[in-house]
Amino acid sequence: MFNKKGYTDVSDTIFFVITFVIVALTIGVSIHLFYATQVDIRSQEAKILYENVVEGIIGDGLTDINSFDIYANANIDKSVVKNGDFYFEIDIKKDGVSKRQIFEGNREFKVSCDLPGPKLPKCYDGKIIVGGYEVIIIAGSNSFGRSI
Amino acid sequence: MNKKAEENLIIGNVTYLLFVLIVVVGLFFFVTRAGSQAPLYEQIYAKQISLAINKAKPGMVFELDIFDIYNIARKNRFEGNIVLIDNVNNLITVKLTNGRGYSYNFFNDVHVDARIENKGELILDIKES
Repeated sequence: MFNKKGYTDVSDTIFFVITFVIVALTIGVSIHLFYATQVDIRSQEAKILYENVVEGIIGDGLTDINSFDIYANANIDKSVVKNGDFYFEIDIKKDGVSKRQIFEGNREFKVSCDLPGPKLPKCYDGKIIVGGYEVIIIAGSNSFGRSI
Repeated sequence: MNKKAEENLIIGNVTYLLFVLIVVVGLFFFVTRAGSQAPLYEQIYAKQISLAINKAKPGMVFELDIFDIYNIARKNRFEGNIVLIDNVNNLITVKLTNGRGYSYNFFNDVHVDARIENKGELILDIKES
């Protein structure tokens, strides 16, 4: 660090700082990359959301489809579904004709559910028959949570 | 060496030492926290608990074995609540260090009471919201 006159050698100091920063960054970035893995539970969440919706529909029996409230019947928290990470859609049909459609959550999922991609939502769909109606349900999740 | 040069030398060295000290301390905390695997376990358990709550019905009681994360928390000298449930915002927070922990949403509209028994048994009491 010091030359013969007792003064600091600027080039040595700069070189030392740069080396130090490179080593620190390498260690930091490596650890971050190793632990930044996301535990992906989107498929399971989509399936559970689908099942909750199905239970809500079956519990109601669809006696009056116009006054049917999915949130009251399926124990689903409206504010969480509307935060943008979840989606579900219910299409109630009779003789092939749609009688009522319910879309809740992030509507972009309606398109992105069918597309492949690691950042795109995971969805689950199915069809049930309740009270003489054919009900098509799609549920999706794109909730990663924040990175660690 | 004159007085001016001496002052400059001291200021330069002190600044450099402070910089090195800050980086080393920061790196030390980052490496020790990551080395304990606490962040990864916080995420895994927050999401597991979220799945259990999403599937639950009012009246159910869940017993989850969380001995391994209980030990990690105690090893990190964290004596606070490991699992916190925010029933207003439907949020689960798992904390294994003195940091902010890892939070994750659950969409099931239920009220959850969480408590830890026998140093590692998490009891989730599911009630009507």
